Amino acid sequence: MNEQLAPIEPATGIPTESKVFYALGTFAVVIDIIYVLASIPGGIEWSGTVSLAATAVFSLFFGYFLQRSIRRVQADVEDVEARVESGELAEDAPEALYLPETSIWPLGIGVGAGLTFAGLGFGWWFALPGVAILVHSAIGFAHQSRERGRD
Amino acid sequence: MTLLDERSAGETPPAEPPPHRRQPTGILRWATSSDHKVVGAAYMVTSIGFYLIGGLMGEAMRAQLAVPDNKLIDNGAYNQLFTLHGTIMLLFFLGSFAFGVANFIIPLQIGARDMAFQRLNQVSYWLYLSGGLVVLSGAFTENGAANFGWFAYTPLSDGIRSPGVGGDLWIAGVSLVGVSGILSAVNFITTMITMRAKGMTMFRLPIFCWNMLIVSVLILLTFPVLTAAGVMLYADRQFGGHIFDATVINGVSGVPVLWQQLFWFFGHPEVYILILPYFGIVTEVISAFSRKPVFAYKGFVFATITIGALSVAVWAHHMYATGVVLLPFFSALTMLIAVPTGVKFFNWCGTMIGGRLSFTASMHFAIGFLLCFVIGGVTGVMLASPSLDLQLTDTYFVVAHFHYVLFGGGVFALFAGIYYWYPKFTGKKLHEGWGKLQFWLQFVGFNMTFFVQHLLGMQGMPRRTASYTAADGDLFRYLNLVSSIGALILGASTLPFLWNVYRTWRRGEVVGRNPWDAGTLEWWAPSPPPIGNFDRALPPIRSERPVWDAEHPGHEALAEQRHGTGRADGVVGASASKGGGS
Amino acid sequence: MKQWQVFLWGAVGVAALIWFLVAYAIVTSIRRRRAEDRDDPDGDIPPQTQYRTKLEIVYTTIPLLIVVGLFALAMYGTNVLDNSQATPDLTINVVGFQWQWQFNYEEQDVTVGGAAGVMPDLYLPVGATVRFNLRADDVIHSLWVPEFLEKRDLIPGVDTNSIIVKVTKPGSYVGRCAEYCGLNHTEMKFNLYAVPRDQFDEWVRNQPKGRPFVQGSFTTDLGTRSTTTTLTPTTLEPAPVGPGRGVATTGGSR
Repeated sequence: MNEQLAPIEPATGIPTESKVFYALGTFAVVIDIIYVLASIPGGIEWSGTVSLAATAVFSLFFGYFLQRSIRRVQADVEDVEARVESGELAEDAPEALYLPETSIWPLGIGVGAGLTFAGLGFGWWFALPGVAILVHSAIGFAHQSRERGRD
Repeated sequence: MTLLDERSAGETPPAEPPPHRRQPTGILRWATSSDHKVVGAAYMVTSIGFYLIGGLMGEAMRAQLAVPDNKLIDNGAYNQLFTLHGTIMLLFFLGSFAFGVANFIIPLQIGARDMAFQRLNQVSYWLYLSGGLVVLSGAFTENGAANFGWFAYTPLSDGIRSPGVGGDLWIAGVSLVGVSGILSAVNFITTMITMRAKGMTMFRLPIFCWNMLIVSVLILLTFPVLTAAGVMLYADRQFGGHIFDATVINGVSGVPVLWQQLFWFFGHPEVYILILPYFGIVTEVISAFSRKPVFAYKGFVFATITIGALSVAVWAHHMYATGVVLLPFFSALTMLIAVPTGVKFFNWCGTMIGGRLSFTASMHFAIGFLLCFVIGGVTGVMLASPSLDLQLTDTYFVVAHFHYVLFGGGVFALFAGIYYWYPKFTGKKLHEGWGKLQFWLQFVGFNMTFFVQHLLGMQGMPRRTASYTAADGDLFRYLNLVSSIGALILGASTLPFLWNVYRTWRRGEVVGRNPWDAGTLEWWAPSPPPIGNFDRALPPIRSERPVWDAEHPGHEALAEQRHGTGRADGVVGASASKGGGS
Repeated sequence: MKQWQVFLWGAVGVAALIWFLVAYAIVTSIRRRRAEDRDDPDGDIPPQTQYRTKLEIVYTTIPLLIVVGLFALAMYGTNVLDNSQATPDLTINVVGFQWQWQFNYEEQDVTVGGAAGVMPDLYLPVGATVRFNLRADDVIHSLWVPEFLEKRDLIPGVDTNSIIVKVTKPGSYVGRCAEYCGLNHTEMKFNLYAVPRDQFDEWVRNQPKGRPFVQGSFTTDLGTRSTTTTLTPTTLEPAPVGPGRGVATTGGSR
């Protein structure tokens, strides 16, 4: 079972995950410049220009964020998994991967948010119970996480 | 190899799960379980429910249009029908079903035990369901549901032209599903980049995962724009804003076209958000039933990334007729999308050619996808040309075009996915014969309904017309009649499916882990997978088909080594095989 | 070959190619299956070919070239549309509103409109180049006569949209609103009659001059619409929409 087919070399360089976002971001930068230049004769169209710029900023930021953090996160997850496998860590230990537990709070958040948003149409009186359920469920949700010592 | 020896042992029923993993049953399980498979199944069942509702609306519209001067449905009701039909199918069915499949399949395909944020996943689902119910609840209000079309053009959708609660509820529901989509996208991205099993490098991710990754990125880029535009529209409707109307106040005025710019900046990537998951599903299906790896896997991935990038820069091709957009810019980029899409077609064909095809019901649907979707693709290139678009836009030609994309592409692939993964979802196989009957009804009905609509559009029938008159001529009459009969057949195709699901639930054929002899990791888990997914060590992950490589030693992909797959080649024993990344 | 034909046949060709490839895969697979060796347990595993780099380059490059060609063609067609700024013989100001049309013949000072259940009648002289200035005050509409081979939106706050057509053939057509505009969008239609120049002049003479061309104020005197003209709609058989398409009956500008 432990036979290794090839040694794992530590991954180096820019992670592929980042490259995807860098590619999207670079494309958005280029296309935004073309869009602005092409629209100068008829007046700059701001909504598209800004949307494309936001696309570029988000993608490049996220790519950089991943480049900085992704290997560390992946190593952490891997390490925890290995410790669970070897029995060093109980499966339901706070540090272990959060495995499915039942929780009623997401349903409460959904109902609460649904009533609240429906209140946008039906009126504020309709939203009141919604907000109450939403807040209560959000607190319950957070509390449940805290009890487990995670999140 | 020990791995293979263990296979038989793994078929024994899993031991009683430890207490903290025990799940409630029945409705309580649906309501409370944060298991990714339960959430995924909930998504799928709910969106099929929306599909039936939206489909009945479509049938009603076709009934109204079957004969000229029909008085079956009045204008007001018809307008609500097509608004709800579009909204439900686009926002509450097709994309949501893909989310369901992704929730179920992605953790299995990457060798993870669950999603990264399991309870957030539940929140996504409940927000999605309540969003759909909020939109539908408009139908029971005094003025009826929203009736301004699914793209809600201003100023028609403002508080003066479309008063009533229905419009506000539409905005509320769409915002809810927008939030739900964003949460899901965050979850998918996090899961795929942090929870991959050891050895599962990015370039060994199955194509379905890759496509969902790009879809998630597109959601993060565009859904906030929709939500922001929705808030502005709500301000216009409720708080006397004038963002999207042309009322001049103190010499300045709002801009109606701004809504279109913002909406389509969301709306066009949304089309790819809807269709890319189904590209992924079809790719998995074709590869499995051709018994070959995905042809030009890397080219396929780059094509997906290219489509994702281009899709954020083509929004105004919906707006040629407004006369206020840059025609050459949007025309060029729109046509360019045809290139990566064409590459995908060649990849699918390349996967099939030289393969040993098994013509299961799932493969029927996948082939139906190829045959129908290509028509939607080529009419898309026609519409990308401004001079053709100015004639064809807002006609039934466009209706035919996007139904060929979203139904011929999306729904055919959806059923391919259902028949393919049903054994994994439930442990039982859907009946092949009923599946093939469904396919043929659906294929004939679909083409009959929508192919003639190309001709109707060219003959001059605008979309969103509640009726037409006898004076419009015999062509209108007969083409519409053919389309309506086709719609009836298309609707009837749903019945064998529902029967098939019921029949399989009662007495379906129970199958093992890998009934199709497919290659991706989900087939390594038992069917249906238990909590935590895998009951045995994962196989070595050296390609995007680790299960195939383990079960057919000596038949690995031929060019795999020559092409290389990144640095972390290799491995993987049992000890550190679950979870983790690379 | 006209541009739309190039696109249409190109589309048919590409679809046919994919259909052929799929059919080829199916047929060859069935034939091979009949011939394959049943005794070999792995006999039904085909060669696991995954990459053919040269082939990939070919099937990426060729579509790219096709798309560049189509784009050039499309831009040519669009420029023909945009450059047809010939001085119009006739300028018609169009206002669309929920759910009617009004047409104002600028030089002739004639305004026509419709009433509830009555479509407005628009007369155009054959041979003239006509410019339609498109405006709307309430919501977005779109002026579409299928035979114009072009449609444009009427957008509140946008006063620059117009289309120019050359009327080449007499006949009777139906114009519609193509952009969904609310409850009775479907009924927002008008009749278009292309008539010889002398009949057009006669029709203009019989129209009252100087009617107000302001949305809303017009509805009150719609009942007085002239019926004295010899060119009432009943004298012209409505032609079915369609047969003239593509031959630019009332000449699209391309």
